[in-house]
Amino acid sequence: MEEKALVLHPERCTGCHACEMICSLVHDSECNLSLSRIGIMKTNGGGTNENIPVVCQQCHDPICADVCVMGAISRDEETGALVVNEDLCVGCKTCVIACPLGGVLYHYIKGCAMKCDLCGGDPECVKSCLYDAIEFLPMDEWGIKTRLKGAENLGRIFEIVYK
Amino acid sequence: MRAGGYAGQVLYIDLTKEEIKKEPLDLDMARKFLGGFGLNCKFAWDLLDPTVDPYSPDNMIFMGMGPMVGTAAPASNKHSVMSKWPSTGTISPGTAGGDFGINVKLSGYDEVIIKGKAKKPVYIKINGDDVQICDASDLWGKDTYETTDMLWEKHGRHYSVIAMGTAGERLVNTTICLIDKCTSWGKGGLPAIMGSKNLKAFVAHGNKGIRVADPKRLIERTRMIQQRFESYPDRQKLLDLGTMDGFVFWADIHGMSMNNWTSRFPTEEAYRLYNTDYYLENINAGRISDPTCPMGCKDHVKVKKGEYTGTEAWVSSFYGRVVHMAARCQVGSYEKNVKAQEVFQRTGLCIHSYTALIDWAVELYERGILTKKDTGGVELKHDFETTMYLAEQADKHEGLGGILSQGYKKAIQDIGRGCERYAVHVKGMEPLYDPRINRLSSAEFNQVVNPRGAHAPQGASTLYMSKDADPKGYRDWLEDRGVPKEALKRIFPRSGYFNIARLCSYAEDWVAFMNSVGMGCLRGRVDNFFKGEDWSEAYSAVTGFETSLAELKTAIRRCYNLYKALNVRVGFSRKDDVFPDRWFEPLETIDRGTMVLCDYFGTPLSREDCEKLLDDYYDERGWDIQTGIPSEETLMEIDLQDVFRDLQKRGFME
Repeated sequence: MEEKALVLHPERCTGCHACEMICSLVHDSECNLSLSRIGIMKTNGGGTNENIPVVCQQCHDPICADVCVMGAISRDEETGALVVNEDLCVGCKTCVIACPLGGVLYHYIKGCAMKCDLCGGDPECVKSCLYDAIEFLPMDEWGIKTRLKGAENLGRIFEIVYK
Repeated sequence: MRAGGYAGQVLYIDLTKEEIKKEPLDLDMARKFLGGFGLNCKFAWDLLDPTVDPYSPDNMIFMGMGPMVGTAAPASNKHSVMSKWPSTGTISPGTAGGDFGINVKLSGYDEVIIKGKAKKPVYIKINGDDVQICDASDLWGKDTYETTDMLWEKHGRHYSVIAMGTAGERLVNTTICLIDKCTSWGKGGLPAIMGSKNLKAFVAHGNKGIRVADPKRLIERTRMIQQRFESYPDRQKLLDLGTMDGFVFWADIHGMSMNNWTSRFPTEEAYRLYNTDYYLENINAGRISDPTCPMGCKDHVKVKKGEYTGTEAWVSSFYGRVVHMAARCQVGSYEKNVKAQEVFQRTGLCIHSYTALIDWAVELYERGILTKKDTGGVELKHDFETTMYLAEQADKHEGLGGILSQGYKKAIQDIGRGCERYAVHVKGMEPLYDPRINRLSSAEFNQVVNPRGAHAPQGASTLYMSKDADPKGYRDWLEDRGVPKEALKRIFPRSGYFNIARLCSYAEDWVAFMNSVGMGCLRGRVDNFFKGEDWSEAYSAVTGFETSLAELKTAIRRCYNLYKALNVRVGFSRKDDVFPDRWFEPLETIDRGTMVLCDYFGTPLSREDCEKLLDDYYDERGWDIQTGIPSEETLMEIDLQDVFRDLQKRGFME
């Protein structure tokens, strides 16, 4: 399995909620910001640079799975997603408390933990984000992209220094 | 079966009795009037006394969220407010995007209806079943930004806030509310109506979920529409510029009249002061999108240099606001332009309306109709200082600014002295587009016949086309939106000509339709990527009511006729659909020569020609040509028998 994750770009997020609407629709057959596995947290007027998308980062060493006494959170070997086994989950919310990224929430209708399952390997939120604020990338590609961004910033600094 | 899309409840709030009632939404009625704008018309028809004083506790605020609002469908966010506006006396709609509508829907309500008057300042909190009238004494006296920040502080940023500014508290009616500091709502005086009710704000957050009858079908259609947006080659440019992508149309192709509709803002000046490179480098700080909109166009702007560094605003339709400050007030620089906008946004003054009134006042001063006695000793000019001075007076509702801030109708009475001759308005509201510059296209024509007054967006703006564009675009658009063949024959009777008046009615219906179901946007940059069938598909998938485009179009004809009838009952008729005198005077420009009122093909139009066009418009609508009132036959055809009987009883029908 190639490790992939949802890569978030707050500077591109316009706060349109399209990712949340499609996420809840796909998972719960209704549109509901509060049941979306991804959340757009707005500050101030809610423009780009003022919104922070929050979603499970599918941790390499997942705290949520570690703290789950029921063993209800495990990795799907096919997709790499950490998924909740709703039959095992008792709704104790320990994982919700433990995750420092706000990646796990409580499904207040089903009474169990709720988190991003990467839609079986083809995340719908990525397809719905027309602003490219969410990408689904293999980790090596993300590494290269991160370096490129760094290079751009450094390039700008060097340009200033040597002018 | 529980219907999808519709949340299923109507929320009634009586501020006098401090009473909150929830009633189930009548789904048969909802299908007949769709939702949003259409349902607002129906509730207003049933509940609102047409003779009511806009400031009376008996006036009502109707907020309608259509069935598509808060779903995953692209651009499904438009919510509509209706009331009897104090500036015009019309019963008409205002539309907004923003997060408020989706949160009301997610709380379980399709419609919120407010009446009465609170004893002391209050705000309304909607959080699912929990609806409260809350104390707002600490918010009174605060501007829109402060009010919004305080309510977020109290309830959390996940709440969406509608706030009115300080002007609304003093019943200034050329005002708007702001949703989450950005989206403007209720031009014509929603803040003043709220002020008269001691109602400072609304907050809403919901988590009930909106059921979708056929998720797979909706997702399929959503992907199809999104694909069209994504594959558009100039998409990134449109996203970068937001509404400022219209700059070139303003500066080069069309233009904006200035000096109270007597000249045109020069192209060179537009490029010098407001070019898009300057905007991108020094003004734009971020892009904001309405819920699920694929072409987010709202602006976060922040001044980066000079005296007003740090001045910040979140603005919908920023380009339009820039143009108004630039041409009508001639504020002189981009930074001053943004500063003035910030002041208007904070106080709640409507940039569209109040800049027009300032422009008019300066001409009255130059003509000696207004003197320093009226202005408090200040010389009125087209400049930043005058704009800020009159804005401050308007906010405080005092002096000349206070008089102007009551809109044309009241100000004409208060000033007197023949000032009416220089007032360019229809039904008390200022037009946006000058047909001498743009030619008489559908948006320009709509300004005359719109029951709301000369308010451009309500009608026809999706058909906003450059005068140099191929008119075939109109025909394609109309065919796609299911306009019947017989109508097309009337609109395009011969090659090289089309009848803008007949066409206009279908464009108006379309905008009203989008505002009713709550999906789509009047902006071409969004509407151009939709096809007619998208709406019937999405509506059917969401609601579970299998509905054809033709059925939807019948429903919207019903809504629009009811809208007209609402205003007939107030006393409006053909006598109020008047082309402003100034449009028939030549417009002298410094760089384009003399411009006169022309049709789309450049043929000059006299007032007689325009009256003939009005005949055609009423005829196409099935309204009486003499009175502009919907005919018995038309009302019967769309199942509005009770409306006909009511109009007849009141003596509006033969």
